[in-house]
Order: sequence, then C-alpha cells, then structure tokens
Amino acid sequence: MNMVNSRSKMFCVVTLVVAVIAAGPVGAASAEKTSRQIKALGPFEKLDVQPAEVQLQDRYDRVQVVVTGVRADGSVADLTGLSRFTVETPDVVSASGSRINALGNGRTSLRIDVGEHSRRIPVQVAGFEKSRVVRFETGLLAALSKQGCNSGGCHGAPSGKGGFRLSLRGFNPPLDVQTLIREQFARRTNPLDPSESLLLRKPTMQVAHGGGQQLQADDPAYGLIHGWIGEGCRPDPDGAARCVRTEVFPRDRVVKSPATSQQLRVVAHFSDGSSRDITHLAVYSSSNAGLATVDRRGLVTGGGTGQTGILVRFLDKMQAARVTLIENRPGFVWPNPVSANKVDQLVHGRLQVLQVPPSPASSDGQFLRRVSLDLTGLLPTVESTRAFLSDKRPGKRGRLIERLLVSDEHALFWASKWADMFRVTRGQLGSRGVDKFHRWLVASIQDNRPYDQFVTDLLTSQGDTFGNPAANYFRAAADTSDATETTARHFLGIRIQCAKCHNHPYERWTQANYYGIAAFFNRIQRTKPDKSGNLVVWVARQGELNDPNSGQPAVPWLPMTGPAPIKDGEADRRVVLARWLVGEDNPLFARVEVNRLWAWVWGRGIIEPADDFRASNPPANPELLNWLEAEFRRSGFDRRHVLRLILASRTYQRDSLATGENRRDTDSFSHAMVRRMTAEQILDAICQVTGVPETYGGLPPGTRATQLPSPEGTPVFLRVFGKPKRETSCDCERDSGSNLTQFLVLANGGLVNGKVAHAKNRFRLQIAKGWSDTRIVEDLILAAYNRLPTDQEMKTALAHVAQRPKNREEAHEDIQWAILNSKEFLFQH
Amino acid sequence: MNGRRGAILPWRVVLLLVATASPATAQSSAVLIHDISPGGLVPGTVTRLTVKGAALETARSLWTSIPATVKRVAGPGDGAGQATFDVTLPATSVGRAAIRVVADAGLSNVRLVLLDALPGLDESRVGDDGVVSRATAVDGTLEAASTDRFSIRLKKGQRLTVDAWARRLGSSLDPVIRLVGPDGGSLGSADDSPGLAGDALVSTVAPATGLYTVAITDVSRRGGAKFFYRLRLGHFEPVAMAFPFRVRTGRVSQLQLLGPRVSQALSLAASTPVGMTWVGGPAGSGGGRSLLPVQVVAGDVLVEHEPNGSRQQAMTLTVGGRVSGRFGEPGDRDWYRVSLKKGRKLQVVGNTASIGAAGRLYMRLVDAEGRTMVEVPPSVSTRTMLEHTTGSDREAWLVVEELQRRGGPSFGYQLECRFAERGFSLSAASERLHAKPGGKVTLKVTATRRDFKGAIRLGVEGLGPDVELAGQAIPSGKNETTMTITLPGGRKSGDLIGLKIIGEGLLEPPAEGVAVVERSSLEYNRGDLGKYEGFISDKKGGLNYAEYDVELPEAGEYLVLLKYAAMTARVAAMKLNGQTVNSGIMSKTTGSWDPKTAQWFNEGLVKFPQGKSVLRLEKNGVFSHLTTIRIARQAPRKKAPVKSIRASVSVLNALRSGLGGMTFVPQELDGTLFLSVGK
Repeated sequence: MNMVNSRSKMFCVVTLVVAVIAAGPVGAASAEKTSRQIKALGPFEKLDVQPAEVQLQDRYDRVQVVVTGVRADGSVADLTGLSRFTVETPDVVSASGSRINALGNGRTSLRIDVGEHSRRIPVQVAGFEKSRVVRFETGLLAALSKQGCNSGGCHGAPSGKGGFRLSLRGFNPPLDVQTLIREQFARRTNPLDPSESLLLRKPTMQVAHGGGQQLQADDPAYGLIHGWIGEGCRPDPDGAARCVRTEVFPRDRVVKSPATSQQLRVVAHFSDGSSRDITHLAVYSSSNAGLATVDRRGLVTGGGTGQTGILVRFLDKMQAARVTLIENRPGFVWPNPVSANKVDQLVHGRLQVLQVPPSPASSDGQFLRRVSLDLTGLLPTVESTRAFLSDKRPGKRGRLIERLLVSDEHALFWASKWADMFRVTRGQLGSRGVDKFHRWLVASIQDNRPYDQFVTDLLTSQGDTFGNPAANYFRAAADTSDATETTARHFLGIRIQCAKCHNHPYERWTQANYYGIAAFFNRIQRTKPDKSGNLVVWVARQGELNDPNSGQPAVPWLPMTGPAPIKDGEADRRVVLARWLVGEDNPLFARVEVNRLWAWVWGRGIIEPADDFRASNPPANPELLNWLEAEFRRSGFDRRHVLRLILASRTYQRDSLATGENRRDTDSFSHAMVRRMTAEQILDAICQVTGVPETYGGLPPGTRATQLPSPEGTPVFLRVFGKPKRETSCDCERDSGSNLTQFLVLANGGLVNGKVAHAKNRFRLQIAKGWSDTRIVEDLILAAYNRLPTDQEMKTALAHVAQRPKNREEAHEDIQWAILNSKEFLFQH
Repeated sequence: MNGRRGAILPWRVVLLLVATASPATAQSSAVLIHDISPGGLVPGTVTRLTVKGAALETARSLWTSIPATVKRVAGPGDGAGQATFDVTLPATSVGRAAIRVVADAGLSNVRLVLLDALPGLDESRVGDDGVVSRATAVDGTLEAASTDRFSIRLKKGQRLTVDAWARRLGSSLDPVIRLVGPDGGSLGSADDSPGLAGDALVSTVAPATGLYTVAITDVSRRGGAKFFYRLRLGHFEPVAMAFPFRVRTGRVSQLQLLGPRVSQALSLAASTPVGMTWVGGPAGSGGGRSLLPVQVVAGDVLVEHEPNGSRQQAMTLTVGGRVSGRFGEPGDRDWYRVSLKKGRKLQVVGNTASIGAAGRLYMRLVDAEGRTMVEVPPSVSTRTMLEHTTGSDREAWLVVEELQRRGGPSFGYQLECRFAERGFSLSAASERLHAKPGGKVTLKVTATRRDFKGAIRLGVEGLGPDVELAGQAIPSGKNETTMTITLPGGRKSGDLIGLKIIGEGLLEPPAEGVAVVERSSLEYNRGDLGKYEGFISDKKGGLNYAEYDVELPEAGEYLVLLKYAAMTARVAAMKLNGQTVNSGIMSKTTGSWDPKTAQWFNEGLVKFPQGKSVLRLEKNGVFSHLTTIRIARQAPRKKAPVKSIRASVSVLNALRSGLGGMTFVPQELDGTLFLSVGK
C-alpha cells in the first residue's frame, strides 16, 4: 500500500514537470472543462490504449494513440481528445496531442491520464540515425495524395493543371515517375536545395499557385516531399516494399452522446513484412457528412443519431470504419417489442442500441394495401379488402402473403422490375424479343427458379434471343464494357465503370480489375438482327482483350479471389465466372440480392443505394444483412423464402406513422417508409378506383401499367411520374420524387379528369344501380385507401353531395377527384 | 506480267431448271377454312370433321395429303360458313397431314391436322372447372390477354406430357405453357421448346396424387381466331427425334427413337414413298405418343456415327452427298473429310430446326495443318451455309459442332454438300388456281437468279402436252412474267389437278469461245486490304495500266474476256500495240469488290496480228478488281442443253402470305400448285 502511494506521488511530480514541457500549460478553466466532459462520459472501468506499445524508427514516423474508456457495461467512449499524454524522456519522442513523433533513439514510456485513470505504454525509437529513404510510392505519392495534389480536381485531372499532370491519386506510379523526375528537365525539384523546389514552393504559396496553399512546412507530407527531393528524387528500386493492406482502428464504433467524436488510427502493412502507422498520411472522407465529418488527422466528429462510413484511403488501398452516432436519451427504456422472427430480433437489436423504439403494428388495411402494392403493384379490390378486414382467423396476414407470392400479378409486376434492370425495350430487343424475354422473366418468378440458376442462365446464355430469351441479357448489354459494368452492378453491387479509364477513385477496384472482369465477356458475339428482330448471341472460340495499361491480354480475374482458373480450350469463360459468382467464395452475390429484395419491399436497401456495395457505404444493419444472406444460401437461393421472412416480420408490418421518438430515423427500420407509388402503380390505381381501364397501343385490353413489357408508347402520365425509359441499367433511372408537373397532371390533366368524368365510372354505375351516397362513398374509400371511411370523411363527403341536390354525379366526381389527389391515395404507407 | 495458259473449255452450256413456281395473279377462290373441329383425325376410325369458313356451301369433299376416305355429310348448321365430313384414316396413319376443302367455287386454303390417337375434345366441351377426365387433346382458341387452363387428375408417379401444337399447325399462337401441381407449385414451364418450331412441351412425373393444371397463353398475350391450338395431355414418354432424319427409299431403314428416357429402334418400310413421312414414339396409357417426321429421299444418305471426333476419325463426305448427324453428348464435334477442286466453290448447307432438331450449327473448314480455312459465323437462320473456293485440288476437313457445344437427344443436323452452280429459282405468289372448263388462268412467276442472266422458259406439268401457254418466258435480264394457262379440252368441272411449273434456261457461257491465252493477274499486297488478287493500281490516282505480251499463232478476230469484280463501274480503255481498240471496257459491276464475286465479261472482238502483240489496259485512277484475262477464238453456239437441273416447285411463300396464311409452313407441302376446275 505504501509502495503504491509512494509511486503515485512520484508520478504526480513527473507529470507536472512533463506536462509543462510536452503539453504546455493547461489553464484551470480548460482543465475543469475537460474534467466535466470526462465525468459526463463516464464512469469508466478501465482504459484501453491503441497501440499497446509505440515503436518509431525515424523522423518521418508518427504514431497516433487512441484512448478508449471502457464502462462497466462494456460500452466504450473515445477519450483520446480528453487525455493528457506525457513522455517520460523528452529527448526520445515528443507528443503532439495524441500523436507521437520520434526525436532520437532510446526507450521511454508514454503516460496517459484521463480523469482518475492513468495508463503507461512503452515507447521505443530505434534506427533513428540511419533514417530511412523516402520511397517514391509509399512516401512521395502518399504525401501528394494526402495533400490532394493528385486529386481529380487538381493535378490528377486527365489533363492536369497548369501544365503539371499527375496520375489520379497516384494510381499510375510509372506516369508519375516520368512527370516528377524526368519531365521539364526536372525543373520541379532541386535536390541540392529541396526547399527551393517548385514542388514545395508552389503548394506552400511561396510562389503563385492556382490551387492556393495546400501545404505547410510542419505538415508531415512536407517532410516526406522534402526528404525525397533531398535524397536525389529517386524512383523506387525493383523490389521496393509496397503497401499490401491497411488496417483501421476502430472498425466499428458507437459514439453515444455526450460523446461526439472518435479518433481513428490507421496502420499500413508492407510487402517486406513491416508495418507503420500512417494515420497522418491517410486520406479520409465521410459517407454521411450531414451526420459526421472527419478531419485530416482522422478525427470523426458529429452529432445526432445515425451512421456513417469513414473511407480511409492510402494509395490504392481502401478501408472503411463504421461510426454510429447516438444522441443519448436519458431515461430511455427499451419497450421490448415482440419479435415474429429473426428479422425482428436483428432490427430490434439495432434499434435498442440507437435508443429508437419501433412504431406499433400497422392496421390490417394498411398492411393489406402495402403488401399488395409491394408484391403485385396493385391495390387490393374492394371485395378482397372487405374479406381481409372481416377475416377474424389467426394467421390471415401470412395467408395473404402466401397467396400474393404465387399470384400471376406478382410475377408480372416483379418481372417488370427485372425488366427495368435488364433494359427490356423494343429498341434494344425488338418487339418479339421483349415479349419473349418478359415472358421468360415472368416464368422465372412463377416457377420460383433458384436465383443462382436464374443468374447462371443469364450470364452463360447463348443462342437466338427468341429461342433462348435469357440471351437478351447480352443483347441489351451490347458490348464488352456494358456486359462488364451491368454484371458487376447487378450481381456484385459494384459500380465499376470508373475503373474502365483509371483506378476507382473511391473504391479498391483497379483498371486491371476492370479488364480482368471484362475478359470474361470479350468473346461474346452478336449477329445482326433479322427482319423479325431475332439475333444470335454466341461465343467465339478464341479472342483476347488487351489491358490498355499493360498492352497485354487481360487475365480473367475474379473479385476478391484473383486470376480465374480457366482451363485450356475453355472457350466460354463466362461459365467460370458464373460458377464463382454463385459459389461459396463470393459473399456479394447473395448479399446484393437479399439487399435488393429488402429495398424492393421497403423502399430503401439495408445498403442504399441497393446496387452500390462499397467499403464507404456500410449497411444500416450488417447483422441483418448477414443473416438474410445466410438464409438465402441455406434455402438454395430461394427468393420467395427471403421475401416471406421479410414480409412476415413485425418490422415490415409496422405502422408507417413515426412516433415522436423515431421520427428522425430514416435507415434503421423503426417504422415503415412512406413513399410515393410508382408511376405504374398510380395509373393502375386510378384505373381501378375509377373503374375505367387504360389501353396501351398494340397490347391487348386488360394489360396493366405495372405489367407493361416495355416502356415504348406508354402514356405521358407514366413518364411524368418517373417511369424509366430503361436506357440505363441503374435503379436510379426511375424517378420516385415529386414535382409540380405531377401535381398539375393529377389535378388538371386529361387522364384523371377523363376517367373521373367517364360514363362508366364506378360511382355512375353505382348510382344507376340505386346505391345510396353513403354506400358509394364507403366503396370509394375502400377502393382507394383500403379501409373504411372515418366518420369525419363520411360526414364531409355526404355534406358535399347534399350541397348539390341537383347534380349528384358532379358531387361524386368532386369527391373521387379529391381522393385521387390525396396523399393517402398517392403514397404507399 | 506473268500469265499462264488457260484451259480450253466448252462454255456453251444450257441450263434447265425446274422452277419453284410461284403464282402471281392467281384466280384464288373464295373458299376458306377458318377453323376445323376436331383438330385431329383419329387413325383407324371415322372422324366427323366440321369445317368452318367461307363459301363452303358447294363443298364436295376434302383433299388430304395422306390416304383417307372422305365423305361429305350433312351436319347441323352446314351452309356457306360450315361443311361437315366423315374422314376415315387407315389405322397406321400417324403424324401431321394437310386438308383442303374441294368445292365448286374452288379449292380452299390449307389447314393442318394431326393424325392423333389421343381423343380430341373441344375446349367448349370442357367443364367450367377445366378438368379433363383422361389423356386428351384439347382443341382451343385463345382470346387476347387470356390464359386457358385445363386440369387433369394424376396419380403419384404417373407421367404427364403436355405437348402444345400451335405453330406446327400453322397457328399464329406462340404458346407458353405452365404446369402447376396440386399444391400450387410450378412443375415447369416452356416457351420455345427445342426443335418444335416455337411450340412448347413439358413432361413430368407427378410427385403426388392430385389435380394438375396446365395453363396455355400466347407469349405476346395476343389472341383471336388464328390463335388456335391442340393441347395434347398424355401419359407418353416424349421422344425428341427419330434418327436419322433422312433415309433412302426402297430399302428398310432402321431408325432410332431418342428422348430423355427413350432409346428405341424402329424399322421404316422399304415401300415408304419419297417425301415426308411420320413415325410415332412409344404410346402412353390412354393413347397418345410423340409424332416425329422423317424425310425419305431417293439418293444415299450418310449417317453420322461415332467415333468421328477428330481428323483421324473423320468420315468422308462426298460432294453431292447428304448427311444426317447428331450431337449425342455435350461437346460433341463431328469431323468430315472433303475433297476440294481448284476454282470450284464448295457449299455445305446445314439445317437443324427445319428437320425438327434443336440447336444451331457452327461449321469450319480446316486444312491438313489444322488451320481454319473458313468458319461460318452463326446467323439468325438455322440454315447455315459454309462456302469456300480453293486455288488447288486438295483435301480439307469439315468440323461441325453445335454452336453452344450442347448435345443430347434433341440435337441433330442435316448437311448437304455441293459445288455452287449458276442457276435460278422461281416462286409463285399463289398455291392454288381456279378456272372454268376451257378457261384460262394467269400466274405471276418471279425468278431469283444466281449468276444467270439468260432467258427462262416456263413449262407446266400436269395438264398434258397440249396445254396452251402464253407469257411463259422470263426474258433475259428480267425477273418475272405473268403466264397464262389455257385449260386443254377434257377438263371438267370438279377436276382437281396438281401442277408443277418448270423453268428452263440456257446457261450463258461466262466466257465465250475457246481460250487461246489466259493469264491471272498478280497477287498484290494492298496493305490495308491485305494480300489481294487483282489489278495493280495506285490508290492515289494517276494513270494506271497493265500490259500483257500476247503471242497468237495466226491473225484474226479474237474475243477479249476479262474476269473482274466491281462494286461500281470503273470504265477503262484497251489498247493493242498502242492503238485504242475499246475505250469502254470494264463497265459492268458484280456487286462487290471481293474477287470471290468476280465474273467473266466479254469486252468484244479485237483484230490481232499474227505473232507478238502488246495488249494494254489503262485507266486514270483505280481499276476494277481484275483476276483473269483471256483471249479466245469465237466458238459456234450450241443450241441443245448439255446440262439440266431439276427442282420441285416451291409454294412456301404463297402458303405463308396468302389469305389464311400460315405462320409455319411444313416443307412437305412444297412442290405442287393446285388447279381446281369449276364454275
């Protein structure tokens, strides 16, 4: 006991001395504030410090220390910014805040004090006197990237800036060697006096620089650039160590208020087995800047409740950290809602962490309307609504889901979603090709064809597009690039098109990766269509695609796996791709599809946009996504099974009305999303409610907008409400927004008013049958809203009719028009 | 300029062609079949057949493409729109046949009917529940945007084969079928099943006892009277093909019936006549079986057999030969050895769908070193043609594989190997004519020429030697005529005459005269055009010329013949010993710059001195693509044909496009026009 006391006293003295040296004077007010902040975050059981030991080698090295307080319940908070860092031997290292810099060889320790807690970690500096050579790629290019010199808006633009062109984000080191070492007679660098180099004088604004000041002499990048120049501006020798991967800490962190920040730490691992802290050289960006920002030092700061992905880039290596911010609600009590299945458990788990209670269950009418629109695109009929509302047997929601999943309307509606993705248009496929492909898609849904087989059929399709409709996939994706990008987007969730011309600026995909995938498709040939519009897709027995970078034939390459195992004489490489795509080694295939299924019934994906899987776009609920993926695989890629799980969950069946506590939740699935019906759904709904069907040129009567095989010749109404022309394979082509034109078309347009005034309108036929006004209004509300009218609605409607005793029909026209223009009708909820 | 002596060739050739006659302005009757019920005739029994259509009040009988006894009977509702017949078929009948109504007002359009042991049932007689009580062929018509559904009760383990016939019967319906089990789950669906001309077939074993439902709809959700179908619901095992597809008449042929679960031998009688015949697969309980076509021909057929998967195992394919082949397994590749002749264009025509086989051919010709000489990129048509002209006599190997390297019981093919010949084909716009006794009919006949420009004389077979024709010549350089046929005496009302229209042409010699000197032009590397056989000419313009040293044994007038290819005319001049003798040579075109399309052109007579002369061709700018120059003596024209080619009359286009036209016209209907004699 005495010993402990004695050590503590001694340490206090040292602390006081070093604090003056290293951290400078701390004002009493500031210290008090810090103390209050620590208290607000605590209490903590212990401190966790990363790294556990600091090792530095030379003057270029920096180590970022991250201090985490661990509470009794296991929850954590970042205390890095509130910690006091004290170096015992100031001539070995210095502490600049939480960043440790080497000063000379030796061993020492770093003391970290946070409130009542204190930790000490060993520090070692070795090899300081033989300071390392600054490598071209991992030193200079990393420094230029950090300062943004080679970004797309600056010298990394295709034509550079001010006559100085760098490869985008250093993705093409040979080009940069040429530019920085040999071009312009090496006038940009001065090895005899590095400080006089244009490469330093321009960004520090010692001479005019169009990009303004981008570098300061105390930036770590300055030292690296200076060092590289001073060492003779040398390119990397053969075999120089390259960065093989990076690590970010923490990968996943919840920041609950009053905490508002989280310091990141990044380590690079090199091909020679070494590793180094590169927190000061990594480039950071936040996927949700409205929620949280990240500064140049890797400090994430934000407020509110939500989640962001922090993309951490070092040269061509990308990592992401997920940061969840929670605005703490004192006194919050989790309501412990019932879970119908695992979907609910996983969603509830997330909501509990976020302190967001879910909304109550939807009404039967709301559920009936929602699930009918999601699965069939159509409103339930009055008859089916009445039947469902009056059904008192248990399990009626499950029975409804089963009935809708096997309905022809479901197959037709969901085939249209695929048709959007696969660009099913007469212009692309010909009239007959559209019919054949659309029918094939419908049959695939009707037969519930396992998704792996469905995609394999598409990706390995050959033959004439009438006889084998799946071959239309490669008719719409009409060349190698299109096939590459479409396949990557639809089945891997990768938007890889950027990598066609350069390494992907925000992702890990390189140009070589792009051509490696493209090499699976370059042998696909297409004949010219004949008079009937048919054409033949086939695979040439030979042919290579050259990688424009190397000029050599691109090697077929599988994402996350490497070069593809292509056997000699295997002409159709797509078979290898398809086998890998649906296989165990590829997690993305199943994840992308279950995410898409979720998005199609929820209005947003667990990852959103649903076809944009990347490290910097984390899932809203990764556990949910993982579980759905596993279920999808376990079921043999049974889409209907996954849909059943989602639709049967309490989560899906929740009310769309947000409570006061979950109003701000947009991505945690605490309440159903309110969204405008699609163009086709609105038109079909108008036809159904008015009883006046629409006809589409060349298509048989009875065809619905949600079942149109192709977009050509469709009414202006559909275009106004965002029906895509299917010119791209992106979901984003569908405009689901609202605008003034839509309002005008609904309120004043000929289509709506024509149907309302039509002689065979629902209410006119009912009047002719002698129906009372009450019955007509009730029927109308049931048809449009799938619920019974409220007393107020009925009272208002009947009052309106009563005001027009001489023109009852006109009064009902008004009521119908008003309902068709109401939000409750136009929106899915 | 190096040259070589050309062979002396007898160029005076007469070509006789049997035209694929196609009527032009035909006296088509108004007699029409719109619908028949039932859609099948039951072999070995009397089938009462109701025909609905137009102008049927004078119907006397039915013409049938197979042996049958037909009797007109009075049916309820008979009149202009309906006629009823009793049709008796031999018990051995099987397959598909054509019928027409023979009436005083003329002959009707064709309607195809199945010769089917499955009992027929009109959809109108199926109950509201759609349940059929046993194996049945349901005859129905689809309305637009509709789906017809029929159900049948099956025991667990019982096979159900759903065989939708629509396109193969000439219907406009493009059927899609779907089979749903008792639990509502899908047991399979089909759109264009392999080898069924766009029709659909699903076959499965019932996983449980219960009611199974078959849905049939049109792929484009269209409908109407022309969207008829015969939906065969049977318990038979489906057979994909009878192999070989083509057999020789006059001897017993062994066929192999092949299907997913069928491999069965079958003999075809030696007496089977030339033409399309049908065989049946194993019958299922309750009747019904697969119906498979077999073509019977007069000549030999090479039947492909394994092993022939390599050059060493190649089968020998002779020019003029025909092959029936199949791809027994995925990845199957068949090799054939072929003898090529210098300067002759080899043509290998491959077919799949037209013989009821699945797939599409990928063919290439390789040389002794294994290098590909020519490959045929696939086309939308399932008829594939490989063409190659070689510069020397040599052996080559034809490699045939399915485009997607598929194989199995559905995948077969047929090849015809020949050298390309000049000629023509003829087509008529109608396949039936009608005339009063002693009257006349007119018929427009159109020619499609293949490197043949001469006149075509038409003849008619079937009306005796005294038939009087007018307008029976298609003049040289023209492509059509309207022929008038005057019926000879003795033809009376009610007669139905099958006609053939025959075309005969004198083959114009590509190069007249007896060659004295013949030289090829040089092979020349044209850079962007590659190695090139043709005239050396500077692309940049200026005066281009070529001079030939010509030595002739005696003075006189000689023909100068040039063989060249030209997309557009590039007129040049010809000089002899410095004097211009013709300033307008090379004025013709061949449709392409490709030397493969080069043709001989007579540039006229030139008076040559004895001994050596210099013949010079010159032009400002680039030349047509000259391949050969020939100096020839004029030869006397021979009047008699030395070679004739015969072919059957084709009425396929007429059947497709005529009133009541068919979406699918079976090949067995080709070859005959019908002339009905009546009021």
